[in-house]
Amino acid sequence: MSILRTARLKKWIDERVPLEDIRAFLSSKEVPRHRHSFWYYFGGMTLFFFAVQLVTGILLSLYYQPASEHAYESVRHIVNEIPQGWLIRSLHAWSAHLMVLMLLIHMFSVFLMKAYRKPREMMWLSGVVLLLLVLGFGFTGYLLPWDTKSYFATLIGSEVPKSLPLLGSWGVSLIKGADYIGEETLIRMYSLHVIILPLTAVLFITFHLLHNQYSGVSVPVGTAETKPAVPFFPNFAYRDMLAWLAGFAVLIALATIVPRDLGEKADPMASAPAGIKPEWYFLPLYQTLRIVPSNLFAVNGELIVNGAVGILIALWALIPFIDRKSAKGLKSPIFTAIGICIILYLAGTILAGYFT
Amino acid sequence: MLTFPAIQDRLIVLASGLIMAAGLAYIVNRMRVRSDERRLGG
Amino acid sequence: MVLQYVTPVAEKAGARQSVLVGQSGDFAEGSVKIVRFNREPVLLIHTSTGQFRALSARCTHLGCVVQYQESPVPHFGCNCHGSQFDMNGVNISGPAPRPLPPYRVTLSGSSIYVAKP
Repeated sequence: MSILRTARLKKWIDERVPLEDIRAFLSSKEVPRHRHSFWYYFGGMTLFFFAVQLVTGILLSLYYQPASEHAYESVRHIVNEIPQGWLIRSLHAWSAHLMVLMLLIHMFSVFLMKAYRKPREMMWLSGVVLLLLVLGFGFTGYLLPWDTKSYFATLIGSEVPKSLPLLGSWGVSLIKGADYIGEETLIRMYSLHVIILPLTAVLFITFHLLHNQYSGVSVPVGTAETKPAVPFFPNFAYRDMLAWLAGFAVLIALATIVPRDLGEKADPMASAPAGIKPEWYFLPLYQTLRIVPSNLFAVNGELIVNGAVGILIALWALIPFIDRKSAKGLKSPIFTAIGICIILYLAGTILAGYFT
Repeated sequence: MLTFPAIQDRLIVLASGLIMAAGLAYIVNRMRVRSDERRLGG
Repeated sequence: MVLQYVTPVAEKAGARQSVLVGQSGDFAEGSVKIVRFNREPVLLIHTSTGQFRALSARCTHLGCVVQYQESPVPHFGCNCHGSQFDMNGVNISGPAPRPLPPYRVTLSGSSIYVAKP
């Protein structure tokens, strides 16, 4: 009886929505297996933590109040009084860290495997956009609790692009909504964090995934496939889900053992406390700004760093078009070396920024 | 500033989360094995 | 049109040219306090010779609020990137590119007013 009913329901849906076609579309993609296939899990892990962010973010939005007079108190209320509020907030904070980490691992493994090469140039481009969006999530979300650390970190962070010519100071005022960090800033950050960035991110994620579905999974140049490829659906999807569950285990362990704390309420009129540092993923920029002197060859040091960062991100986005060798299906060891140098620089500046 | 539940209570949350994840992982893994047998021939 | 909408409007109402920050009795000689000038934090310095001076408390590097430090010699330090200013607001070390801009202090009886220079 019940089997008959499910069959009838399936038929009913099939007549309206081409479920079989969708299934066939999903299983048409195959995931190759070779000695580097381990790295295929990290894109999915990034997506998983993004999903956690959506769910916990929606839950937090039920109680959070984006007003400078109430923001801090509302976060304290969530943690101290709402049942399991501490857990939801800690999950949101830790999942953000893990999402950035997974994204970086995914990006660099894609880079080192040259998976950006033709025909996946646009997938790489959309990935770079997603990287910037995720960093934007981190920056805008950081101010929302409105504690001293987040206040001054945002103040510094929003001051940094000011040295850029033409659009620098206008862009900063656009994000701040005023000349100072205040009510308007908080509301704009909130709007970016919960509406503008999520909608944009979902759009780019959809493109990224559909492109992946159409072009299939890239195999690194010169890598032999050791086993027959696995259909993406359902076989690889199950493997992905196992990885997500492992990610979830790590996430809940961090959130329960090291719950996210909250500092003193921000006071714009008080001196900045010692030890103001941005989140770890902004430390490379922070540390570079610390190393470069304020005046280099009679040019403002920040301008140099900002300009260099802008140019490097643009070059990074255009890598598929610069690396002509891998586009022809040849090995390009120079780009592997560049990638490793960048990883070492980022890791070095993160460690130096964290411990000094 | 913030008051978190006592560590024992948080460990209970952790334990239930891990049990849930492990249970799901068990089910998902069984489905994976079955689907592999069907598509990849064991 | 959309650009006009999102560009912040310059604050017009509420910003005063000269702000009463307190009574001279509130500030001990040789002390430094941060007072509020509209939206801006301002260092009000009561020198040991009994004079009042005021400097912007905003570090000229990236806008953090500086802190008065008595040792080894009285100076203003910024905790964000380690810039230091002397008691006249001149940048003496660190990444700060300019001195702290001064404000004008006027006394009317015992009331202290701070104004943009």
